[in-house]
Amino acid sequence: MILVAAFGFACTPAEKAAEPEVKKEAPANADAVEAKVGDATAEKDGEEGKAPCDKDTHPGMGKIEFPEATLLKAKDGTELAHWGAPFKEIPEVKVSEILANPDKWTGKEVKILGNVSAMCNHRRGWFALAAEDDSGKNLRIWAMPKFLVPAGTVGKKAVAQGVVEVREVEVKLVQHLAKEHKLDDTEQKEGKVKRVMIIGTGAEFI
Amino acid sequence: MRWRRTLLFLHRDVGFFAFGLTVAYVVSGVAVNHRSHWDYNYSIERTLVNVGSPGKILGGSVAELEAKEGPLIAARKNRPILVKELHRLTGREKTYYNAFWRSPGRLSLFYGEGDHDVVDYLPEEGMMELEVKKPRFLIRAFNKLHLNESRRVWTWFADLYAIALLFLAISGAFIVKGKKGLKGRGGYYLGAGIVIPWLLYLFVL
Repeated sequence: MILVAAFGFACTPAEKAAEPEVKKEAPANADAVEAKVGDATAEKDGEEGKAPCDKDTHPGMGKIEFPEATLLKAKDGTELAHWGAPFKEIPEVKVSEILANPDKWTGKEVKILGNVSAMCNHRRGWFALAAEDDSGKNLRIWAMPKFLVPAGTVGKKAVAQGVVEVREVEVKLVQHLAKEHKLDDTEQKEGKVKRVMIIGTGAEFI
Repeated sequence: MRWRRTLLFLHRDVGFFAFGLTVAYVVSGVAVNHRSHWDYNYSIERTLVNVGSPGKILGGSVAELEAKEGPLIAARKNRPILVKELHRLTGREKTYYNAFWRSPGRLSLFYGEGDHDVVDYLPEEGMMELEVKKPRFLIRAFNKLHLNESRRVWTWFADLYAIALLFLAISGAFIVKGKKGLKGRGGYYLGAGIVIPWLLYLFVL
């Protein structure tokens, strides 16, 4: 009885598998219309009960090499948390440049700067940087196994280093990333698509 | 035998000690087990507001650009002023700390920590989506313990708890004697508790 009570207390509000109706109105002064939505993060893609992101892995994932952040002094004297391996002295490349010319950058170690548009909330294994050209395209950076992405990172700026890789991923995964993490989607309905990503070595979140 | 009596007392006392953490681990375990069905860390409140296309919001040359090239191009070419106007439409006093295109059709304004309080503008639909995430305090606390997120000294305490659970399991098997004990009905239940998971592992998982 106590177990049931504890679980019931901890689980409010009640979870729903499907999204309830959401009212859309067009008031002249743009007043908000309350439309409470439950915990509508049901993922029916892939195996029943198994989220597509559970199958989103890459070789070498295992023990985290740098579990703690290193505190560094920024140029203005403030403290900055550095995650993963120390940065190398390499020139910065634009996210849009890597996305536009993946073949040119595949296998190369790059340094990139951008706004964090998404992160893996379950395992904290990756984060995404939005392209600086306002295209809305994104580049995913794998933090694992070097480090784990710190919580509350989405919306911040980040500097990251890593090796560029082009990989074929399931369309269902891309659709999951678009639906749950609000990243760019694909028009393809099934099969695999090529995606550019970075196997990260280190990052700083500002 | 006196040892059985002693075992019973120890089982009782260790059981009381393990009660609190067991409840925490059960709640956390079930929550995480169903992670594909819900976000166990946060409840999400989402509000949709029809604010109109970029041309409608900003008017003038933006409306002309939108008529020629569509709402997305009009929004992209006027991001800074559009963001300011969207913020004004939210009616919030506290300003956003960052704003950028999160995906090709989604301009996001960030207010809270991480993505806990985000206003998304969808120019092609003319809709503003306000999404606020509220932490589930109790489950998050239980998860932090169960998943050992902090590591450090908790690792050792959790190991001690694991040993306590093992003691409860083993001592529980020996407390009762006779036809309801290990040599009787209890033995069948114990065997089933081992065989069933193995069969599931071999043939289903």
